[in-house]
Amino acid sequence: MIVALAERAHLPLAALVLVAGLALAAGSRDLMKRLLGAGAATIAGAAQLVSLAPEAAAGAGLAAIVLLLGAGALGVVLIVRMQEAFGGADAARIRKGLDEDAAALEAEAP
Amino acid sequence: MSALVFIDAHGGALMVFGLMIVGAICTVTPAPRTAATIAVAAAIAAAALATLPIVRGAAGADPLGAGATALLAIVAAAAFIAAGPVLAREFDRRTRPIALGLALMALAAALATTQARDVLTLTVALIAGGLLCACLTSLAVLRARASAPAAFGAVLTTLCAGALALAGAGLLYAGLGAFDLAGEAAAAHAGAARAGVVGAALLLVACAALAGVAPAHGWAADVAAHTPHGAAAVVAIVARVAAFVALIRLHTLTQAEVFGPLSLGFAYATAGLGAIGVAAGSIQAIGASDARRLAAHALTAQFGGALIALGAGGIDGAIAALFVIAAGAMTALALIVGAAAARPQLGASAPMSALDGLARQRPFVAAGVGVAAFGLTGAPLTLAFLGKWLSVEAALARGWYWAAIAVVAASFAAVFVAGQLVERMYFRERPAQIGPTPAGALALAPALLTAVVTTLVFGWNGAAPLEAARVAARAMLGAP
Amino acid sequence: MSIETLLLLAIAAPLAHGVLLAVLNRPPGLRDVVHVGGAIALATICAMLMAEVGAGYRGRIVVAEPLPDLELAFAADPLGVAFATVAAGLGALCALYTAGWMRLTKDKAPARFMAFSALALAATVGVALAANLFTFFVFYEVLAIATFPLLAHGGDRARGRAGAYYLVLMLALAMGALLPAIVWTGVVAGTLEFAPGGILAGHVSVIGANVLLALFVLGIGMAALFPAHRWLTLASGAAAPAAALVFAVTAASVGGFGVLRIAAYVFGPVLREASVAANAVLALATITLLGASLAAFGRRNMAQRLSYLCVAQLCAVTIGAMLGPVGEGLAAGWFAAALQLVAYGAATATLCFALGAIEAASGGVEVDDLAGLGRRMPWVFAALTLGALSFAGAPPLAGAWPRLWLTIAAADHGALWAGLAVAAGALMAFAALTAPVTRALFAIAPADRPATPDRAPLLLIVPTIGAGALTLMLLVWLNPIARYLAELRGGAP
Repeated sequence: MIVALAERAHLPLAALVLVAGLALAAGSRDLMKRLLGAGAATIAGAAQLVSLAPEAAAGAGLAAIVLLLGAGALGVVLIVRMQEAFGGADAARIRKGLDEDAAALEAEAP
Repeated sequence: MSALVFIDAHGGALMVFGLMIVGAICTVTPAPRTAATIAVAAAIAAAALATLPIVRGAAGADPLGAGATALLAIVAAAAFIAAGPVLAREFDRRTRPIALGLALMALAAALATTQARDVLTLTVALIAGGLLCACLTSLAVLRARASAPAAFGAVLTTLCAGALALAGAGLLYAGLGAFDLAGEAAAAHAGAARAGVVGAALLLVACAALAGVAPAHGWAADVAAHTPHGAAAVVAIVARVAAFVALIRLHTLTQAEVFGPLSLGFAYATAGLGAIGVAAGSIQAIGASDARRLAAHALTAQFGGALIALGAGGIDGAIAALFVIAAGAMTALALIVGAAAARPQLGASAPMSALDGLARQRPFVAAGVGVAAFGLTGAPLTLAFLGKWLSVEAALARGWYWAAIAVVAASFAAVFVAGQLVERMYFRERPAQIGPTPAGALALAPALLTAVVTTLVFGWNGAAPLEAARVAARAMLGAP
Repeated sequence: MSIETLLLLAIAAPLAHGVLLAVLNRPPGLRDVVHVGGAIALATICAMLMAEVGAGYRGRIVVAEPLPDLELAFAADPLGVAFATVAAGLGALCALYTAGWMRLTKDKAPARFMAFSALALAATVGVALAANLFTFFVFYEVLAIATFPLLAHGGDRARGRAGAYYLVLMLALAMGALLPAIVWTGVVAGTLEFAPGGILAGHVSVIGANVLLALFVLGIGMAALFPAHRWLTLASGAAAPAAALVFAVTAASVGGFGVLRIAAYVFGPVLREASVAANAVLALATITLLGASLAAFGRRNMAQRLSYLCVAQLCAVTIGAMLGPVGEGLAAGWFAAALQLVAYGAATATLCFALGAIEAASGGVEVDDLAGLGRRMPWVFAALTLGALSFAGAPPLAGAWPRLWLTIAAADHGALWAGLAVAAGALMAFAALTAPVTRALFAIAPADRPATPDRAPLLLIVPTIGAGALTLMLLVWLNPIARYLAELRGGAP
């Protein structure tokens, strides 16, 4: 039933996933959730392109998806790095770490 | 086929693919000096290739793309000359070639963006550019953990903007039946379907986000502040201006007949976004704690002014927008060069206190930054003044007094920014803790000269850029 | 020499003068000779220009054209050339004074000061000879930038703050109000050229004319109308040569000149249509004049007292500028404003030089410090007295005649209250300046004062006497000046 629904309403579904993904990327405090939200939005966007312009967009769509996968991978690497450097991947902890860095710089400068 | 004919026909693709390949080669080159030489040669070759059609008066069917490509290629070439020595103080031997290679590839993506005539190529180029800029900023994480959130912000923006652009491209095709940016194919349809309108709006938002147009400009300022100094011009100026040129093309598409009365809505939305950009960029520039962040906010304010002029419509508005972008790019270049010349010996950032006393240590750099600062205010006989003059004229001609007030208010705010910069450079002492300015300022000279000469020479006599802008505006709007 | 060549030289000479000073800053003798020689050269060029214009010749040159219909151009007309000549003449005296002051105080960066003062003079002449609003704006901005280092010279934090306040205020007002007014004028009138009889007639609505006038007057912050007057009063702490340059020769005078230029050569008879704004500016100028004159009394420091009186004097120029032609008749107000500018420049220079010389000789310019000093410095105090009497509008000195014409113009416009305010201001200036001078001449010096104070150097005394003589000579030259400015007087369309 879900498959049938997806076949009939794939465009609205993709639009919904796109909006939900963007909302999660904008609103979440956890970086992994933000990345997942952006990733989901990307997939939804690619799905829309592929379903609306299948032949014309095949090559470009593929290239875009590969690039966005690369971006996603980079995002994961950065999250790992931030977990190591700041002790966590949530916005509050990172903000605290950045404030400490700024305070340390100010203490050195006049 | 003669060389010139070949270049006319394939110069754009040659530039883009050539830079991509050379960039890839650079990243694997073991010797950093070799990589720097290759990068500089490639950038200069691209600049020569991009400028040749302009000089010959053979900009072809796309004067806007040709002009924007030439502008960005020249900025990038000057920046690459400085990149080697600057990066030498930021990274070890292994990382420098990677940084140079990534910067070349980011330049290639930006030039592909400015030359793209269809939505798909534009989307791929924008996403590639965003990803490469994020990679460049990620390199700075090796030096300071504070760069990681900025790089992550760039990744998120690229992903979100990419999602919107892909969806928008699909919807635009569904509505207009073509990916063509010039709208010629779309004119064959009776009217743009609602899908086309939504698609155009999504694409506009995506381009605006990647250009760092307010309110989506926070990530751009973070990236500018944290990206390696040697690549800052490419990330903070070239990539953003390229995305903005894409925005201009999309806006022009929305003004095509096929969109009917909705064109006016798009125009108002563009101008409204511009007013927000002017306000946000100007206010944040005043409070900026970092010199490169200030440059990023100043460019945001300039983009705002350009959007207002674009929204006002007509050839005059388009000409004003192009002038404002060119002036903004040059101002930002001078500020970023100044930040690189003044940066502390240690650390990845360029706090405002690093500019203190710059006039004593680097008088020519300080003079160049001073010229840029006055250009920000729209001081007479600078390129920015002509941009502001044309913008206010275009707004008043349309009866948009609020828009003219916004442009003027931005100049007002810029006076405080310029005053702050001049006061720091000429009337303060450099803090002892920061240490003396790093050596290698000579490498920054081409970039600084490019910015200052362009700002002053074309501010004194704007006939040549005015004619170029007029040709580009006419081609954009399909006017005779 | 053709008038076009003279126009070019009038701009190029002080610029070259400034560059030369930046390069030839040693030895001090050469530097001082270059500075004074350059200033005298400029005064000579302007005098030659004045002679050509007086003989009926006119001329125009275009130096740059950033955009089509946007020219950087200069033209020779009576008002502009007269103002340029007065500024250049006083500038020559200032140059001599500066040389003396720099030697006396052993200043650390005299060449820098002199270079910027040359640049400021170039900008002043550029404003005076501007053929259109764009050129006026360009050189107005250059002037603001060039005079800032003069006000901030000395490294003193208070001077630095005063200079920064001045620069930011001038640039902000110019960008925020003057530039939009200029662009708007260009859009509605189709031209930015100054023309006798104005350029706005028939091109702008009543509301537009009022808003434009308000923007123009607000944008010219150098005219020191409340609340923008503060830059002048804060600048009273500047070194004496800087004060003389900024108050008498360049910035403050340019402010008054700018308001007059725009009233007469942009608005012309349209000033009647902009009556709401004109009356509002008139009222503001009157209030500022009275307020500044009253505030002067409360200042024990003579330099501060002088700065408030300068605000009042400049307001008289603005009052005259707003009292344009009545019907087809006499533009007495504009004529009075032009005469006031001439008288103001000479008197202010005299007073600034004298106060500087007094400070150099006695170490202070507080009112109480002046007791009995007049008998020991007779020449300086004679000049000071002349300047004070001219400020106060005492006949037959030059300062009296603008006040007479202002009163006539105010009566013609049914704004006699403005004329009364000008008269009241004159009385207050008289009291504020002559009381200390009287103390200086007739009071007994305190017992603990040295028998002979250190005398001021000759290089300070000579320009002071020169400026005083100029103030006196204006009495004789007033008729020729009035004939010269006849175009302004009969300025109806």
